[in-house]
Amino acid sequence: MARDLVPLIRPLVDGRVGGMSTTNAVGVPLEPLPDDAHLLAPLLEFAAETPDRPIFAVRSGESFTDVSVGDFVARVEAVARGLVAAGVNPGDRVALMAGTRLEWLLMDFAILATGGATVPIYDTSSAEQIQWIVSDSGAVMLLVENDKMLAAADAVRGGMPECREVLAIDHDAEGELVRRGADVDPSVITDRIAALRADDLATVIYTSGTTGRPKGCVLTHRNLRINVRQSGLAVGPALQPDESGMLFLPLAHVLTKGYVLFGIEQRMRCAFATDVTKLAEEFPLARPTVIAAVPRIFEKVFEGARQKAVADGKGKIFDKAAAVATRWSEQRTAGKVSPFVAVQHKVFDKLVYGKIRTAFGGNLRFAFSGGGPLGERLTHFFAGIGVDIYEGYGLTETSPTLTINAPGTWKPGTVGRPVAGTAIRIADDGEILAKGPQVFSGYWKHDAATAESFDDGWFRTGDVGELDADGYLRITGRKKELIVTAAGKNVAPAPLEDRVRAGALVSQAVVIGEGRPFVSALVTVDELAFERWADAHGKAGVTVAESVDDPELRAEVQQAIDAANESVSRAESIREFVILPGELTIESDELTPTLKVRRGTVEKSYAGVIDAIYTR
Amino acid sequence: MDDDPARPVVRERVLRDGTGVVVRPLVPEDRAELTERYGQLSALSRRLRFVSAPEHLSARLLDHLLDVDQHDRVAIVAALADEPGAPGVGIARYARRRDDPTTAEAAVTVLDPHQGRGIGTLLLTELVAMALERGIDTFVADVMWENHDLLDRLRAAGAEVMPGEPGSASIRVDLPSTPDRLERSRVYQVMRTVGSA
Repeated sequence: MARDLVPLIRPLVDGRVGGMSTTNAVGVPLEPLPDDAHLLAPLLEFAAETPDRPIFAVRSGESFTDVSVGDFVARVEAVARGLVAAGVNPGDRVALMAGTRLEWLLMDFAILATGGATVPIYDTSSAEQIQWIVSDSGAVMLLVENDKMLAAADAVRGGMPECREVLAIDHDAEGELVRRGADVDPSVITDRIAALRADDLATVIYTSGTTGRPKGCVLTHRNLRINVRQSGLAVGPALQPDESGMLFLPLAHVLTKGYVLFGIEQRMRCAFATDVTKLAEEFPLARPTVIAAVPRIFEKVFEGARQKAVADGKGKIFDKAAAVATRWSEQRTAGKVSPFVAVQHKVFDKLVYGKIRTAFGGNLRFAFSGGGPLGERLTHFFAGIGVDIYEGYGLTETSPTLTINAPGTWKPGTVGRPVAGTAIRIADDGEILAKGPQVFSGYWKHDAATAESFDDGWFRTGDVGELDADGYLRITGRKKELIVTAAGKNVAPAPLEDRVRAGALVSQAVVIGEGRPFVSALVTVDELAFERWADAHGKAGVTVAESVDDPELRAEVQQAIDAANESVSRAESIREFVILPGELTIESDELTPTLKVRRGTVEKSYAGVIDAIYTR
Repeated sequence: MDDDPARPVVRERVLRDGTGVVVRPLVPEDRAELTERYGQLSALSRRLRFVSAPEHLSARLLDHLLDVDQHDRVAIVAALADEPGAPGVGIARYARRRDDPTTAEAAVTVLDPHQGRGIGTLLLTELVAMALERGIDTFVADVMWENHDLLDRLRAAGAEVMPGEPGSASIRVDLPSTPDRLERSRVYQVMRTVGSA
């Protein structure tokens, strides 16, 4: 897979920049979708053209077994008839809570085929969240994966009055629905699909706000389909016939959803990983050529390869190879690779890079990355070993892609240029504003929030950024008080901190997790409350600083953490915490002079403590 | 203006609706009242003021809030003059920056039921006057982005609004060079607009 040295960066012909200004950039023009376009059309066309070609693959034994598109579509139609028999009408919402597996997409497409809309729920969501999402969306039915989810749903059943029934995939929800739909004429489904319009509701995806309950983003068939086309236009030059994909991130995440829709339009086979922890084993079995991932996946592959090299006594060679890969990509991007670097690059390709590519199965050529910032260094490193990462930017509210790095318009450290039909503007205060057919119409039943999220027709992303003269967007900050983990999960720290602080001994809690694999918290203990507690627990005279590792004190704080975690999904929950020896102080800038908490400085002050949490 | 900055200044003012207000320095004896008033703030007001705000003030936070010298750390209280016990309904403070002694961080809080009566304006006007007398020419503040109304008014009045910490804007307002130019200055317009929120 060694590359020739022709620079990947071509003259900037596939994008136009609005007047060379640095506050506006627009993508190439885009033909609008016809009003009868919908998400099932590409699937049905795929099945009509080549029913025997694989659309998915699932693990069975030591390999992946193909599922043909013809068979898949037949299952979708049979399940859809069952949903009709269960009373699902056009416009109805059906909630779907499952891990990333074939049945997720089977149910999703079946819901769409009835004219309904899917309301995805993360498979790690708490009972409280399930209740909120099902009741707020008014879902008439809830499809879950397993007994555990069934139990969680049962516990809050009273709080979701519009939900008529709950079925579990592990209890053969498919078979049950197929049986019930046996008497429903197949033409009902054909008619319902024919009646679908581009502006019909396709999904309501709930996202965390900075405060309060999650809000449902209303996305139409048009939003999602046009975004697939926009991404396809951008990365088109990199595509070859017979691409193959792999699914491992939650399908409740719009990035994964967009990726699988892209795969279907490209007639690509997508393999379902059994679990994200099995990727090392399953990449080589599925051998994808293109994946969609979050930064954490790339970090893990890099760290894993490095640790293995160190364990084999080859740490120095690895570091040297990594540096060469990075320099090679940097020079290639600049337009010319020096002969010296080129030779080193060739040598290391055999010795080191090939092994890292093997971690991805050996065939991976490019990857979409989103959900959070991927470092410039890592992007160059992977490009240097032969895997181009097309980092993009967007939100659930934007289906998701607004900008993307692509072949010919690739600038690591930025999130690329606007995709076709999309305009990006930087407001006076630095906020990134966006316009395009992929931008949602609003939040479900939440007009106030919808009104706030638009400014004269422009969607306010809540992120702060800058455009360079060539129209590349760089993200520099965030207006919303949100943490984005390396897994791309948005976490609102304030509600979590409020709940932790409600703990009897806790004086202050600062939630950490930006760019990290999971969420953690730094907790300070109220000295007066601690004294009373210490007296009552036979620890009179002991200080907080002496007790930060005291199991009894930690157990006390753990209760407050547990209470906070009940309100969120596992991806947002506080997995680790550290009790700080003292309160946050003004002297160290953790509090501003007027006592405002400064998260940034707290993170710097306790960088060592935080690193220890994440390297345990 | 006061000749001796160390001397406590008490000013009587009248709000637009005719309510009499006394503006006076915060003193250590205010400890109990400060604790009580903090408890009366809505969760939103607490959050907008302190970002990650505890439900009750700890002894230590109280110590800090009461630790004023009326020179580098100034805090003034607005109290309802005509009510029994002259209850405090608003507080404004600034703290001089250690790295830049002509700049101070400012903050103002008014109890929820009394917001929108002009108390904030009143407090800020006094605070700016005190800052000018004490050699401060710039106020800075972190304001949460979700405090849309305040930010819009600050911006309209010419304050510099830059992205700060995640969730917050970093505000910078130049104070007029001398107190007598206060009323004609931009910052006064800022205060007027902020206070009338």
